[in-house]
Amino acid sequence: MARAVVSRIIGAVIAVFGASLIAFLFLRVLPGNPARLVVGPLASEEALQAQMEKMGLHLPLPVQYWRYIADFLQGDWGFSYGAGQPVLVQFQDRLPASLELGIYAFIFAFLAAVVLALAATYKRNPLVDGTVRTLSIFGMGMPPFWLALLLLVVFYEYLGLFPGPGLQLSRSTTPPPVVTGLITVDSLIAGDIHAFGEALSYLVLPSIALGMLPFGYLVRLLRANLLDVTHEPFIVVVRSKGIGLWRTFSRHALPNAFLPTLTASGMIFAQLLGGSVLVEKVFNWPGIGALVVDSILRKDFAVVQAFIIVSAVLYVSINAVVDTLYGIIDPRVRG
Amino acid sequence: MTSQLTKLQTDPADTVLSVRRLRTEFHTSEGVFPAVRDVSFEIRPGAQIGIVGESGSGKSALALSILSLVRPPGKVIGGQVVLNGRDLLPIGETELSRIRGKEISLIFQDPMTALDPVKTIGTQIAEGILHHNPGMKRREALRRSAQLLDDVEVPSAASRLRNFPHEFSGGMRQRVMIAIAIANEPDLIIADEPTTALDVTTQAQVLETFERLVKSRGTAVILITHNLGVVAEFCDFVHVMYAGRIVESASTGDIFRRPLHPYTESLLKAVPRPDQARRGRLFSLAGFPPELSNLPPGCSFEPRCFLGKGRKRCHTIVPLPVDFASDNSARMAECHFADLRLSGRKEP
Repeated sequence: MARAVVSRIIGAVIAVFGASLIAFLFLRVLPGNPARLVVGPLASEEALQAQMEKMGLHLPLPVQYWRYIADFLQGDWGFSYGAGQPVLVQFQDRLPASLELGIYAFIFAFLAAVVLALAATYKRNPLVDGTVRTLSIFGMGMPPFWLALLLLVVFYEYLGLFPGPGLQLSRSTTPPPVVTGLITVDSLIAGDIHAFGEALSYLVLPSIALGMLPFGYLVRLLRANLLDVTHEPFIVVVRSKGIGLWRTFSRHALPNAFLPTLTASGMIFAQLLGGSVLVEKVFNWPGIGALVVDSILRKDFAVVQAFIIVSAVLYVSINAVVDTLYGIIDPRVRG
Repeated sequence: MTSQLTKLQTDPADTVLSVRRLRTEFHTSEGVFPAVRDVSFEIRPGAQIGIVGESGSGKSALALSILSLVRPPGKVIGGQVVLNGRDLLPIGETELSRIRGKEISLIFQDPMTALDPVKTIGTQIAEGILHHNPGMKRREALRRSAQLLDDVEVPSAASRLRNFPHEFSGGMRQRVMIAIAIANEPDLIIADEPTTALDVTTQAQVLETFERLVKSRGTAVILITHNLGVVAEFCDFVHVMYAGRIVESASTGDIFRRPLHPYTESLLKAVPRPDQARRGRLFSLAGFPPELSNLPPGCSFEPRCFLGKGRKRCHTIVPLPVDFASDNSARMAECHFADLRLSGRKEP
């Protein structure tokens, strides 16, 4: 058991370093000189050389990489010339908004998938099943930015049920003191129910827009697994004890059907946490996705590298959590 | 037909289960499959009867129909399933959930897949006990579960409640299944191929435990199997099923001594008998059971029958059940030549 944990940690570290190396090399292989972008097209050759030395670009690649990693681990994530800010500050500003949106999008996708997969398979009503399957295809086929626009037009513009884009809280509400950076969590910590409710209402539409695709995928997976499980002999045995259909589904079929979707759920969650460019753009959400795309276009290496490493850490840690969850939920893995 | 079966029907007070003209069909896009075709039989309290047939003969569909657990696209079309004097088919789920597990329970064929892999053994035994004893404490239900595990001869029963199914061997899992089935002391247990997945030694041991428990509790058992050896050991009375119908019913002794239906005879000939030296290859029944959606016009066994082959009568006329009950034993066969065969005259 201890050996498994150690080897898993070593594997995780190797994965993160691999990601950082690829990010580093890939961005340096791309044409164009980032120092030129800083000093401008009209600067002299001397000024360019000076800027390259300042950025360490004159050093051999292995040295550059080593310096970058050493600095990164000490909390110096580099300087974004595009924004004129340290990268770490940018991430502290932008990442929590993306994390929060990702978390709620996942909650929406997951809960909707569980409820609708149960509805589709319970009693096997063909009409309900057909509706759920259509919704699933709709979710997987609908481009998220298009859905985001539709949601805004219908629920903000016409019905006025939810607030529009651009903010996480209305201007008249004082934001809660920053603890985690997630507004819903911070407002709960501060005991500010009003701010919590408001932050939630701002999250509803972007979460649905972002969560629809993973919902479509998860509901399809869960529905198929539930159908498989309900054909297992042990379901008949449970029913033969006198246990009702609902309890059989919720206590026996669902936990078994859920197991094979756990890995996919973890991957989806990690992906959602990394932010989404298009949905963030449509809702003018102050997240990391838009920042990264702008930085790629500006060849702002430091930001992109940091993002790749953060994403890798997110993936690796969520995978580790999923592996641990398997151990808890599936007794056969514990072995 | 009912009149011809009168002798098989006894006083209702003396039967725990009486199945009458039960019909179950599966409606699929490929057609209608009548898996159970007007099956009638009954069983007295404490009796041990067998239902024998090949795979696909409708045995399992019959078991699920009795419990009202046939899943779509399957459906019980007609008939009666009278358990302890009341018909189970018209009553609702709420009442059924009070009867299943309490008056009638099920042991399922494959012990590897018949237990929920993510729930402990204790939880799975206690679940049925708690369901039928509302208000009972979980601790008490687990104590009873430990007692049941002990009854089915699982070693160090109390400590094994917290184990999961994968930590048990096949034989031990089947013992757990028996514990679940007898938990609420039902009047009737349907055991669908209870020992098929086990090796022969384990089979015999599990069957022995099972028989001891049902005998001591006076539980009636319907044993569904394709294994005639198990039937000989366990059952007093046998129904042979073919293509969704019971084609022969007789006491175990009669079935083995003189099978009347050619299908029964073929089944018996396919069993190796060490006491009878045999030269050459073991008899094997050629062909497959007929497609249920496309049954032969006459006797459904005719295409594979050593008697009927080519006879117009067998090919065109569905044989009626013929009653041969004597004073001490019921007997029935659905074959045009059953009476001839019983009288022992030369086969036509």
